[in-house]
Amino acid sequence: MRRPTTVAVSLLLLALVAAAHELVPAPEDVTAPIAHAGEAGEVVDARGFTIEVGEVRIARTVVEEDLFGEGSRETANGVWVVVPAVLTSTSTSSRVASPVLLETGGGYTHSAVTRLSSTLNSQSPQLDPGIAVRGAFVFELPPERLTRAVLRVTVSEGLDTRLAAEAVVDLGLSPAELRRLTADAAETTVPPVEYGHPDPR
Amino acid sequence: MLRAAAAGVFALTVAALLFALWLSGGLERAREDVPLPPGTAVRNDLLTITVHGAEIASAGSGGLGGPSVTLRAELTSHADEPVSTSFFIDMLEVRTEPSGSRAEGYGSITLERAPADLLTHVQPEMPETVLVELPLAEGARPDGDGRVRVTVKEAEFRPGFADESSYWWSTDEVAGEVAVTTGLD
Repeated sequence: MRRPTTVAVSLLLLALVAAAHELVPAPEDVTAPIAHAGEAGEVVDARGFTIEVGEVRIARTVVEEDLFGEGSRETANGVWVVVPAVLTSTSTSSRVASPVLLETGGGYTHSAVTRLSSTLNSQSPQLDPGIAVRGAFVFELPPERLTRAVLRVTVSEGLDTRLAAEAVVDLGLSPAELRRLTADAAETTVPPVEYGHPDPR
Repeated sequence: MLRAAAAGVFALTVAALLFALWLSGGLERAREDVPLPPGTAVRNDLLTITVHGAEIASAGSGGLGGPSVTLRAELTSHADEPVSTSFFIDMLEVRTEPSGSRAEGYGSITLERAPADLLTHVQPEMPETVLVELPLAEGARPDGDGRVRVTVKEAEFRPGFADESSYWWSTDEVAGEVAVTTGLD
């Protein structure tokens, strides 16, 4: 009678050990940035910086204006997703870390394009406490992936982003909104990075 | 009697070893070292690459200063997140023929439609025509070479040794080998 009980308890303990092992976080998860979630249209406090995402625009072509007002056009492989945002550091001087990510439907994640020079991620402006910096993150992706789009922005004092502050912002694009934005997608301008403007455009 | 038994055991052992060799594919005909023609897609777990053309630059004429090779290829990433271009370059072994000069060191990838801007990451499942520029090893003399051989290694996603985060690594296995004559068109 004792032997079957011992075997059963041993098997149960082995199963518990295996289950506990599965719960051990991966090394990259242990030191991942600390995420704070929010939604577009509201100020998201990521404990170290705040971010407010404005009205998302979708376009087939984007125009970047240089200092002289001359525009260069870039056509997307898919569509451009322009995400206007205002970031404000609330503690120390810091910068937007690379890459800025857009999580989308189907389990795909895209990084913001770096070949457009006037975006927030390309310029990586210094975020000084209390001074709002506005601009836009721009992504290039197939339009059908734009469901459940979530922006992920990490801000850090240096290159090391371990345990840095991270904002995870749901862009709140409903299927109807996506259809409207995609149908109207033509051309839009990438807003330049500006200091001291607290409202995203 | 003893000698007959020993011979029997020996014969059985040899037969068993031959059988094991046959099971593991050791008796199959060796793969011929014939590269695939340009335009053939080669796939591993990370990428699919279709090399369409290549160009060899001698010292001083390429964008990298020294002698280099530029591949024109269609590239698709099969990861579900952006992957740094350096991992794609790590999957490629490139040499020019007939001199046998090898690509070595840091290369770069640009989109054909935006050749002035270096690509930092390849986006998931978004096929793009790219230009892969790779420096040739020091001392390479590719003048007179007219063919480029591209070996695509197999890929695996696994943790590193010191850094236990998981990344894409090339393995010793070959996913495919393509040979192209020079000229990017």
